[in-house]
Amino acid sequence: MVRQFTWRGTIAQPFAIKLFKGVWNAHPRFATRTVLVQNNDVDGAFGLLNRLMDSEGLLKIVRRTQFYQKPYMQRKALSMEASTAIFNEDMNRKMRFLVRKNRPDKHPGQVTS
Amino acid sequence: MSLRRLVGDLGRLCVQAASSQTGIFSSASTRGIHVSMRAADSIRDAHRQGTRIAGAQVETMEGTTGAGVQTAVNSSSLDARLPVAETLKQQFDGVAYNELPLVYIRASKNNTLVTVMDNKNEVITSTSCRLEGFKNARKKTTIAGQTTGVAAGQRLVRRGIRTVRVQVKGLGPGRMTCVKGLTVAGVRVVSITDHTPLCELGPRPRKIRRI
Repeated sequence: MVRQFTWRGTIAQPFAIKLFKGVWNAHPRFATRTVLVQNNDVDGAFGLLNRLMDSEGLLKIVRRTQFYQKPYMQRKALSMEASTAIFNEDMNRKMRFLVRKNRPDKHPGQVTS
Repeated sequence: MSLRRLVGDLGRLCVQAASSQTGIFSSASTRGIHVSMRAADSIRDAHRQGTRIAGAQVETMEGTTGAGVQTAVNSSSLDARLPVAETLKQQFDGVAYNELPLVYIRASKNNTLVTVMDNKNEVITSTSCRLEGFKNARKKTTIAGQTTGVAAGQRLVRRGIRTVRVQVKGLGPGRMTCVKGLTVAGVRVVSITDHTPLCELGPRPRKIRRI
């Protein structure tokens, strides 16, 4: 008996909804990933569509599944993503602290006037 | 670099001056005093050059203009630009949305294919970059995509179809330009739908290109 090898995708996502085949086609076609064009402004509509697809991580899926990533690459990408997220979180907190505006004393540390 | 050149020139100058005065180096030709080129390298100059960091190879994806832009946008008109359930019955130039002809655009890396179908899935017209006269590598240009779109649009106009919805599949040079071509030909594009296949679960992709 020939046992067929099935590729199970990249590293399993521990927290996401489990993927199934044809998940990209699961919803009604014009319900998602659709942008209405106003005044025949195609470029503006495409700008919005591409931006939404990028922010939802759909373009990332295309980029990631274009070529097979070897397991060491997958692990590397995963840890890179995690460390970037940690750095960004801390940096965002720091920036928010630095640019905060609702402090009681307008000029903290300043003695005169 | 500039410092190194300066030092070299100065060295040669000094030698010439010395030889003309004392005649010690008269037999020697214009060979300069030995200056270590490593020592002449200024750290500051090296820094000014900057370290060229070859970052991770970023794949450029064509037809994705607008993605990755972090600028703030006016989102007040966003809801009007996204479809709701009522949009399917909305009239566009006297035709309901779900009865409009549908332009299928397959924008692959090497070609752009356009097929127009009516709401009963019967082909109205179809064309491609090759049929518009672009051969081989010319097919994978944005101009070829635009020309294909214009040609398809002109055929539609000849048949009296002036309002369509568009579904694009794939990221390629013809993705945006083909739709632009449709509008150039005088067709009104009501909506743009993306239907790019996102195969997360396989089949296993091809191996990485070695160029």
